[in-house]
Amino acid sequence: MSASTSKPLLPAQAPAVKGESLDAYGIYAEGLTKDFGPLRAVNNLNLAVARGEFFGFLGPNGAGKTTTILMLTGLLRPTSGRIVIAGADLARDPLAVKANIGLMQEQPSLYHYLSGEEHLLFAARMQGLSHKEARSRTDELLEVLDLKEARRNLVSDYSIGMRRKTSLAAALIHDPAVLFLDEPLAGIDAVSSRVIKDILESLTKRGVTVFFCSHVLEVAEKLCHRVAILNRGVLLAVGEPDRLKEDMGLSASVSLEDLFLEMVGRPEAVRSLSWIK
Amino acid sequence: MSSDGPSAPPRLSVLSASATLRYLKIVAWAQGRMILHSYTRSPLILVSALLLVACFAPWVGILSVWSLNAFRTWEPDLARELLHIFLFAVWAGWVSLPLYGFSMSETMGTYNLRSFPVPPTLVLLGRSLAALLDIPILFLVPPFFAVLVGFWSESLWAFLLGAVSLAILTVNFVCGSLVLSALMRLFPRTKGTLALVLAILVIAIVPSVWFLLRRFFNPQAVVLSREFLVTIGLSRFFSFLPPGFAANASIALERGAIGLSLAFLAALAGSTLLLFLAGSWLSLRADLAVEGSNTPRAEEMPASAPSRLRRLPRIPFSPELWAVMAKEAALFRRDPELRLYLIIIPALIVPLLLTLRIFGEVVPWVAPPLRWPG
Repeated sequence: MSASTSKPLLPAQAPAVKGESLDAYGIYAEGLTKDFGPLRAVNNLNLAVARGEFFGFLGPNGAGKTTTILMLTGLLRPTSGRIVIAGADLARDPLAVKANIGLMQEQPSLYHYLSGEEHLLFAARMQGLSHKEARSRTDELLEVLDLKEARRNLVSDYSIGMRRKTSLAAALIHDPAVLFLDEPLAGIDAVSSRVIKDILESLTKRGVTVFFCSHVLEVAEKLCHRVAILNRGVLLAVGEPDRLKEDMGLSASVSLEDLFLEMVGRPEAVRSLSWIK
Repeated sequence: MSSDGPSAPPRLSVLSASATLRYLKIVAWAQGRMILHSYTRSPLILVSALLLVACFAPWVGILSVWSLNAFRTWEPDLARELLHIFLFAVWAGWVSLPLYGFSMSETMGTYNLRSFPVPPTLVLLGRSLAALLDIPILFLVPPFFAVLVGFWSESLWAFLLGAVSLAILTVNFVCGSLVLSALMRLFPRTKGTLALVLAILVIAIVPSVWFLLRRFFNPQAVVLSREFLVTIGLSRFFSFLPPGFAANASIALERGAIGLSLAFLAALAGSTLLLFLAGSWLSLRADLAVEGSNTPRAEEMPASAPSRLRRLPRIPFSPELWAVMAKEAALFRRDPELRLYLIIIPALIVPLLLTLRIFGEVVPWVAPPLRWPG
C-alpha cells in the first residue's frame, strides 16, 4: 500500500471502501472510540497501516496512545469501532489476532519471579512453539539482546532497560506479523538501542508491520515510513513526515519535533515559575 | 506470520483436550517456578520461609490431629454442627481474601495471560488450578482433610466422597476468591468495599465483645457450651452455601442417605461451576474494561497532596514533619496487610474463645465449666 496522506488537522484516513479486502493492512481501525466514564480517551480513530510498514504513533502524554494500543491488541474493549489485524477481525477472532501480534508495553507486564530465560520460554510455549524451537529462539534472543549473562537472574532483579529488552524479546519470539511497541527505547542503552532499531528495520523489510509509539521524535523521524499524531484522543494527521511538513507550510529542514509542536500546540514562551526569581 | 518466518505455531484457539492439557502444563510449570523463586530468591528470604514453615507446620499438624480426633470422638450432633462451622469459616476466610488486598496466586494475573492466544475460560481455569499450588492452600489441605477423614472414618465410600468434596470445595474457594477479586477491580474504591470490610469487622467484633463482657461481669454465666452450639444451630444459615453443601453431603452419607448425599455433592459441583463461569466472565470484563481507567489525564487528576495539605488545619508542627505524617498516614490507610490484621485479629478471638470454652469442660483451669441457664 502506498503511504497515503491527508491534510493535517483533519480527521485522517477514511475507512476502507466497501468490499475492499482488508488483508493488505497490517492494522486497520475504523471509528475506534473509547470512553472511560465521561472521559473520551480516543475519539473516532481511523487508521490503515500497510503490511511491512514502520508506523509511528505520536502524541503528548495522555493523548490516548496507550489506550489505542491496548484496544488494537485486544486487551481493552473499545466503546465502539472495528479493528482488523493482519486480516483477522478482532471482535470475531481475537485468538487469531493475538497469535499474530507481539506487544511490548510501556510498563512491561512480566512475571517478576521468573528468570529472564524462563519468561521467554514461557512466552514462546504459550504462543504454541515446540519446546525445542522455544529453547533455540530464547537462546538467540538472549544473545542478541545482551541478556545472556543475566539469563538466570529473576526479572525482579533486572534494571528497567533489561526488563524492556526482555519484554521486547517476548514480543518477538513467535515471529509476529504485527509488532506493537510502546516506548520501546526508553531506558535502553545506546548499544542495545542500535541493535533493537536494526532488528525492527529488518523485520519491516520482511513484511512485519511495526506500530511504534514514542516520545522520542528523532527516532520516529529516522525510522518511521509514516507517522500519526494524536492529541486528546483525536487523530490530527497521518502521513510521511516530509509530506506533513509540506502540508503545514514548513520547510523540509524543520524537525519532526517542530512539526509535532506546531500541531499539538507550542507551550507558551517559557513561562516563569512564580517562586523562581 | 511473515512469509519467510518459521511455520505458524499451532494455535490454542480450539479447546481440544490435548491443547488444554498442554496449556495447563505450561501454566503449572511457570507457577511452580515462580513459587520456588519467590521463596528462594535470597538466603534471607529462604531462611524466613523455612522459619515460617517451621512455625506453621506444627500448628497445621496439631490442628489436623485435633480435628481428626475431635470429629471421631464428639457426639454426632456437635460434630455435625462443628463440621458446618469449620467448613464455612475456611471457605469465608479464603473467599474474602481480596477484600483485604490479597488475591489468590498474585504471581499469575489473568491480565498477563490474556496477551496470549488462549480462550478466556482456559486462562481462568489455568489460573485457578495454578492458585491451588500456592503454599497457603497446601497448608490448608491437611487439617481440612483430617476433618473429613475424621468425620467419615467408617466407610470407604464416605472417605472417597470426602476426598471428592475436599477437591471440589478447594476449587470453590479459589473461584469464589477470583469472583470477588474481579468485582473489586470492576468497582474499585467504592464505599461498598469499605462497608463490606466494616461489616465483617463488626460481625467478628460484636460476638467477641459480648463473650468477654459476659465472662467479665458474670464468670459463672453460661456463654458457650456444646449444648449451646447445637441449640443455636448455625448450620441452618450455612446449609445453602458451598461449604454447607459439602457438609450436608457427608452428613447425609453418614445417615445412609446416599441419594441425598450425591444430590448435595452435585449442588456443590454446580455452585463451583457457576462460580467458575462467573469468575471467568467477570475477570474478562475487568481486564477489558478497567485497564487505563486509573490513569486520568493531568487536568482531571485529583487535588495533589500539597494542595490537600494546605486545606488541613494548621498545627504547630514544622511543615516537614506534617508532610511526613501525612504520607505515613496515607500509606497506613492503604496498607492491605493492616486491613487484614484488623479483620483477622478480632476474627481469631471467637474461635479462640470457642476452643477454650470447649476445652474448658475437659481442662477446667483453662476455662471453668459453665452451664446453660435454665
